[in-house]
Amino acid sequence: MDDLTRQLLFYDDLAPEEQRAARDALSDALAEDEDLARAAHRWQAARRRVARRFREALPERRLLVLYALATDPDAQEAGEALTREEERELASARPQIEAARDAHPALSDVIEQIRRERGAFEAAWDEHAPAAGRDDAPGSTAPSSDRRAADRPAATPAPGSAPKRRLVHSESTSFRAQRWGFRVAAAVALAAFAAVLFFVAQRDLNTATVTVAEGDAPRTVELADGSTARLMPGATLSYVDPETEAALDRQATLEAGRAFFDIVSKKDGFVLETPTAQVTVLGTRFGVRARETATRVVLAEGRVALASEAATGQPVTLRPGQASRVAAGARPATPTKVENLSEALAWTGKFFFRSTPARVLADQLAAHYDRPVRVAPPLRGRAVTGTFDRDRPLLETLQTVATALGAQVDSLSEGYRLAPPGPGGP
Amino acid sequence: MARSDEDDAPDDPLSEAAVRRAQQGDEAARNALYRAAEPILRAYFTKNIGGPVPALDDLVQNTLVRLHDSLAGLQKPGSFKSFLMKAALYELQDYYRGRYDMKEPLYAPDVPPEQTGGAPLDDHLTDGVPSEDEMDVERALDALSAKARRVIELREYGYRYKEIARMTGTTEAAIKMQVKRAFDTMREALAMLGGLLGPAGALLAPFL
Repeated sequence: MDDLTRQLLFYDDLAPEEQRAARDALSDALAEDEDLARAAHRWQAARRRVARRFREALPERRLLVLYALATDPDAQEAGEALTREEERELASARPQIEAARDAHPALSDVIEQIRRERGAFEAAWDEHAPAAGRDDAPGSTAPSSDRRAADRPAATPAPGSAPKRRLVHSESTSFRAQRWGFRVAAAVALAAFAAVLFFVAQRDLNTATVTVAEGDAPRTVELADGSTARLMPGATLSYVDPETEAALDRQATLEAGRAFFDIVSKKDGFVLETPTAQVTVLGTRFGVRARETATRVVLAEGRVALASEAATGQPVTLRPGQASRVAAGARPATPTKVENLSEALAWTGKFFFRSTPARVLADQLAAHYDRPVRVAPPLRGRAVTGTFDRDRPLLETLQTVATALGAQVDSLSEGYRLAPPGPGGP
Repeated sequence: MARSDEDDAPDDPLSEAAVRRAQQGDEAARNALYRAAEPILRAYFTKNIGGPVPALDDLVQNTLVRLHDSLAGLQKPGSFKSFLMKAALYELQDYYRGRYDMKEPLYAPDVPPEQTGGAPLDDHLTDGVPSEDEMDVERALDALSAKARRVIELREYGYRYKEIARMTGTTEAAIKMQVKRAFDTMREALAMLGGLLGPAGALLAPFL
């Protein structure tokens, strides 16, 4: 298989740097070969259609896991039975799963793979569980038939589901403090398993609350761990007062409004709550709009897990450039790619460029500043990643971009031009 | 045979009694439980996605988050192994789903438009009347072999080609060759059909 065909058909399997090179090579080749361009276009469309149909038929992945376990004799023999609640869930979903499996043979492969993954877990457990915790050791659990007999009608929440102990936001400070402590303990214990945090969780905390009135200028609040939150007019943020509770500095609640968070990276996660959602993050930057009825999150950098505050559905994970929404009482929406990250986060007062071609960046800057910004052909496809304040002078932003590209900024009679360095240039 | 709480070894963090203590708020029991679960999960994810990879820590941590969030709801502490296994399986399926978004998908030619923000071809359909593009897509679909469809679907689920090869008992090269044959077949079919071409510039758009 020649390189061009490989790049065309398996572009998604290339490393990022290979993708960049492939884009250039494909662009040239397709411009010269109309037949190839036509075939590539049809191939892409056909592939997208197959993928979309599969995606539409694909049952919820959690249910696929339950189906794979319920129909796996090895799992049954190993005592990996479903709870009564899971059995009920699966019973109602089974017709859809089996119809999808019959229509898409690949789904049988997926189910078989899940069974293999279950087997891999058995092996990992046997190898790494403390001896006393193994099934064949003292303290082991009953065979599945005994355990099933002990099942209570009340559902056993699946591991993927959110806890059922959500609290409303009108609670007292001390009650809120316990919940905050609980969440902090959850996040930090994962990294450090520090028992002291569970002690801290029981203490009352002092919280600070900042509200930016409608009509006021945006305000940036620095949190105790060095993270920042830029609050837009109408936003209310509560957070642990860094003066009093420095140990619990990875928590905040956006009660209402819009805010852009720049969370410093630490081993322990940062937890942001809103009336309808919980966002668990490591180092990251993201915008949130919180209302009583829904929360929308747009992720600029890093990675966040978004869960429903009402314990509905499984959390979803957002990647940079994706957005999701959690309506009150609903599960988090499947993350979708935002077409224009800067536009989606324009209310933050910043531009966000992530591997953005220089020509696209120039168009956005030109539209915002209402001045022409041109890019010399060799630079047009070059990717730029960065964040810029929208109120920063255009020339300063362009100079920063030019530095990143190893280019220079030429002043034109109207506007500017990014160009490769000339004699005496950078 | 089931054993009572009293029979559990006191230093067994995964025993039924220890799990129950962890559920009831015993900090030491809870920490010991997490400590015991962590190497199991790490070995499990390493086995399934290889390692070391940057995602490994995330997978372990996310699974522990799931565990922490739902431990109180576990009604049968004796079923902890099954409980943890399901949490790990759920996390792994979620990982597959989001795996390709870690790259630069905005300009990837074959990322579904729903993920890239690009306009789906279906936008060209009006009132159920297929457009020329639509007819071309259907022709292209006809040219896809069942094997190629299967590979595309498994890729859509989130598996890598080498994983698909392992799952289907073949090699990565053979998997990719199936895809290439399907592309060649479709290209030949298009050449025979001759046309319904758009301007070349429009065809290039997805790649620029």
